[in-house]
Amino acid sequence: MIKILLEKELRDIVSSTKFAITFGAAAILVILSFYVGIRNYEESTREFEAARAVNASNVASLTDWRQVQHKVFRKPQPLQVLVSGVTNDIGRTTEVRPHGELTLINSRYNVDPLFAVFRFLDLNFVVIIVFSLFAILFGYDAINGEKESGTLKLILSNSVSRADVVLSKLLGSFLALVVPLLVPILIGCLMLIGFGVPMSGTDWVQLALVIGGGLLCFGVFLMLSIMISASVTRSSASFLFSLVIWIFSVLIIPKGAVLVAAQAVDVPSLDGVEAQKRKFTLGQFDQRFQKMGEFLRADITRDETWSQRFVAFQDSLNKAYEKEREEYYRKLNEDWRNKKDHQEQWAFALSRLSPTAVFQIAAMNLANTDVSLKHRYLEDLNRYQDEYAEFLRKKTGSSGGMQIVMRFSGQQGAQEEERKSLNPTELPEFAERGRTLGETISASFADLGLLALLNILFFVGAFVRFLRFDVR
Amino acid sequence: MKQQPIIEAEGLTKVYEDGHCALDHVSFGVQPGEVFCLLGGNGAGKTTTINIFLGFLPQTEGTAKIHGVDMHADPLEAKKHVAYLSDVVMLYPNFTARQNLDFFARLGGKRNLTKEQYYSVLRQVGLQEMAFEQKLKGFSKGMRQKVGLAIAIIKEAPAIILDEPTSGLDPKAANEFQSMILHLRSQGRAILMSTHDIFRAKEVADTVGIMNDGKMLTIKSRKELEHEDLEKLYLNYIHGKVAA
Amino acid sequence: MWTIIAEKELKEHLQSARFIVTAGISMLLLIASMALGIQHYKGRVAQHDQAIQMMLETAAQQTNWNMVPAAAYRKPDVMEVFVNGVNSDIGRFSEITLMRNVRLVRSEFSDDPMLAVFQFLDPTFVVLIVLSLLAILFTYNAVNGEKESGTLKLVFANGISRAEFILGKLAGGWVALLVPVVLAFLIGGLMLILMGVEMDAAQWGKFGFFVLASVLYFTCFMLIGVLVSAFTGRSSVSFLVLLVLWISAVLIIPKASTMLAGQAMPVATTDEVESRLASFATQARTEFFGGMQQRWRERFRPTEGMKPEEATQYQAENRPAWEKEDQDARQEMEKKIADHTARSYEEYYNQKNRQEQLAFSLAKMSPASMFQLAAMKLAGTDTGLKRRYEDAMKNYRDQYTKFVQQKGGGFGGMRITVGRGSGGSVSMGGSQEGTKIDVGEMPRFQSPQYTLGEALTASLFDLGLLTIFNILAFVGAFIAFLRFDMR
Repeated sequence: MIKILLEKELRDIVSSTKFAITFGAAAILVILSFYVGIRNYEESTREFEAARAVNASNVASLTDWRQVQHKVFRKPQPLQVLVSGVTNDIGRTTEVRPHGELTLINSRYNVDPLFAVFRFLDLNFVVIIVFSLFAILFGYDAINGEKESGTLKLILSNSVSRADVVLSKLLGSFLALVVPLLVPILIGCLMLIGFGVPMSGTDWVQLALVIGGGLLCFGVFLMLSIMISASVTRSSASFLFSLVIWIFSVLIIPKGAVLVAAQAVDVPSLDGVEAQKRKFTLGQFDQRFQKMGEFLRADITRDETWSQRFVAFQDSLNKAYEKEREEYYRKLNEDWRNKKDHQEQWAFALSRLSPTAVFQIAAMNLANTDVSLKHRYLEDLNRYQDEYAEFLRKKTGSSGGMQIVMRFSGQQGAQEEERKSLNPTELPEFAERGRTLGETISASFADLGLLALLNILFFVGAFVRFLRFDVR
Repeated sequence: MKQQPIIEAEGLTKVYEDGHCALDHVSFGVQPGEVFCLLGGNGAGKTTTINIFLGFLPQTEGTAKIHGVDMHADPLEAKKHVAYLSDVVMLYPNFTARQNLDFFARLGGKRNLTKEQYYSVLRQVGLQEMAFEQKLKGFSKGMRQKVGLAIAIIKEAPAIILDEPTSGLDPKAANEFQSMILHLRSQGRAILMSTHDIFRAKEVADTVGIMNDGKMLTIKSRKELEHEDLEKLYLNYIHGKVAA
Repeated sequence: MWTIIAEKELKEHLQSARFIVTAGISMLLLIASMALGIQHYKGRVAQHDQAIQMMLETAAQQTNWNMVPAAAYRKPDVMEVFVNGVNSDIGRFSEITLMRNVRLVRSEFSDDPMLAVFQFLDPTFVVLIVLSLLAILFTYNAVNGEKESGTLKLVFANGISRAEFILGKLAGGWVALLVPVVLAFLIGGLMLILMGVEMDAAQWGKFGFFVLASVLYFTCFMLIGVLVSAFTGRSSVSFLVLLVLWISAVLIIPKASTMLAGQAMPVATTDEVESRLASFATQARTEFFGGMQQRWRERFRPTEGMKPEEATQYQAENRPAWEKEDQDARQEMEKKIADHTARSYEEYYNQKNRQEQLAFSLAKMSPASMFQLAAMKLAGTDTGLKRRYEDAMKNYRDQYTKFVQQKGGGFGGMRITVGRGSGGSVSMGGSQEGTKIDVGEMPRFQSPQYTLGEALTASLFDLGLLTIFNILAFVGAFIAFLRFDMR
């Protein structure tokens, strides 16, 4: 029996005008989002390479490693254009100094507010807005629509159990809608290959999980709207009901949750933390000045090795202050980070009232464009900073930091040897370590699980509601 | 010698949770080759009776049997023996007439019918040839009713239940419909139909059950009806002038 | 006659569950978004004031103007409550130093990516998405629904012209939607007053025009709804058509057009521009130092044959002239860098403007973009916000550096004197040992003015377009209905 009902369900959906129009729109948008993502990736990669090249040529134009203003750039990742998350909001460029705190500047949206006006059209957006709407359009009258057209009574006048009817309805509409949706998604994946986007095996697994999550998100809305359809007598009422739920879950709850959490959980402003740091550093600066003055007054023999002694002294000063500063900053940062984490947990916990928010959080975690991207990236940068400081120490004999280099015009030879241009390839390579596949999956596991759970919940809900549905 | 009725109601009672009594100990039986008309105004209990016979609604008391099977006790078995035509026949607008017929035929247990067999049933109910493979979207009410009747026929069930089948049909369509019913009767089916159309009832029914306010006021056979004016009878019963 | 229709339309809406639910929700959302916006705005103001306060406190501890961590902060504007625009995307402040160009850094979203994930819920968003959807929901069956329910024929069995009917229908539906929206904004305005937000006349004016733009916008979708409803026979079809139109207009066209423009007209990235500027500056400085070294060698050459006393005498006599020469050379070098920087940025901004123009003209196929752009321009949170602030900050930087130079600081602030065999000292230029600077003297950054007049001029075009769009849709709906097949 179920086979007959399933077959009818598939045919009924696929042969409708509603399906032709909405599926057409969804398919175009999916393909468009892949295309735009790919072009965006190419463009960002071009920018990234250009910026690196300019950095290298700047280094090459110098003769002393101490003069170098070395910049590293956040490398665009293929998945980040499909699920942009916060990637366009946080900075891309960092000037690496051997010491001191590193910052990310020049976020895409800050540099190009043009793109911030309407934001990007990514796969994530299409899933959240279009897939969910698509699901509702087919789910809202699944049960009460059949009642209104009299077919439900006709079906049930046969020797068919209600369980069979509702099972075939739920499975049939899921299959009838999801299988066609896989087509544009597959085309998109082929485009990724065709355009030569360097996707690693890990990327593919993560993309597959994002797509899986998207389909689960679609499923949640489908099951939910079928459940509503089995709970409300009139299809016009169930449509309104589903639409209101859609507006809330897609547009209102996520935004509202974050804003409410931002107000309910107090986190001191980052500016305050920065000001404290600045104050501390300026205090150190003063002390350092006095120490240097003392050194100059104490060590008064200006012999051959004096300038080396001066550099060595500054080095030891730097080291001591650097350690102190790092300790202080670390404590401040950690303190702030803990409070912020607390706030973020609240915000996201609240926003998970909405299935689309659950999907978005999962997708961002999978694409590594979640809120902690900045934090993770800065940690990678800090590791690189140590490496860079070590490199500079080898090259220049000092570990960098604030340096005053004394040259006496009498000492000719030293100048001549420094005239040689720098070789930028000697610079240590910065590689974003990011997260491993395991870490990525475990970060998104709970949310994917939640989506699956919601599917089951609404599935059972629709099932139970239909068993009690008044077919008269 | 009376045969076992195909459609049989015994003391059917339906009391809703709010205390409203929709059916009050209604009993009747429909023999093979008999057309039984439930006649009554809105809210008389006709549709409630039919809903109970199709298992859409559980009764409070009494039994509803189809082909000797209790609908409440074993609905799936009982439904094998009944075909139904509902008052709203929108059917599936995106399916053609044949596809609609095919789906419901298979649900009714007729698995391996050929296209020709479908066409022959559609022809039988008087649907134009050109409409067989057209989507139902553009069909008029009369055409959809014909497809609905084809669905009821193709199941070849001994019992047929029709809910307000002629409402909204033009005289020609209603007439064609009537002759189909008579044709089915001649095949020995037991037909239960509800209507508020006195004249139609008089023309097709072998037996008329007049209902009002959940009660079966009287059951009259065609022979008894010939001597009486059904309309007068109906109005009298409804206004309680003649005791049941 | 048309007033009877309008009255019926209004009553029908007001009595329907659909209206009560959806109008209630949109009112609630508008009010909630303004309440959250006001809270957030207050937070921003507090943050802004605190940042300046802390900067001044740190400055007050210094003995030297070179050590002052000068920065110019973007001042929050009440209009952000209504139209957040790109406000959270562009940097909040810029460091003001001699060595670096003005650059807005640390946008709200980059500081707090949590906010960026789902973005803001501002009234503009509610109007843009929710009100437009509502407008469609109310009008998709305006004409064909009445046909389906048979009331259309009933109405026209009376002596009423089609024009009167459609006018009445539009007017009634429009008023029904207008009331909750205007009411919500009035409550919002009241909240602003009650929650003690200070607003000047210009800001109230901008608010008024924002409400006007919102009304124009949803009217537009209502008219399109009626138009489609009068074009299609069945209400289920017109709803689908409208939904597709809505998705394209609100969600797709705006995004797609900026991306198309971005790809059609690529602009050099700031990284490239900045790196080029940096290498130009390095080269100019190297030249300058080289030249100075050269000059000093030349200057000392005459002293080679002299006795030490004579040499000292010679040097002492010429030193002022030499220093003046160096000073001039330095100024020339700095001017060269500044000119080059200005030119490069000019070029960069010109490119960007062209790209932006293309993007926005493409986007304006959709009334949603017209509204969004008009709203942002009214509130001053459009893409021009960054430019306005950067210009103001550049002026401030000039003013500030002049001030610091007057105070004795300036380029290469640190001074180390090393005497042969006599020890040495480290000092900062312009510092007076032990005396703290007086922060009261420090020039303050003034936010660029964005007057009501400027806001209106900027948004006039978009508002005009929206009006024209309305007129066209109205005429379209009118004509479509006159030709509507009533059978």
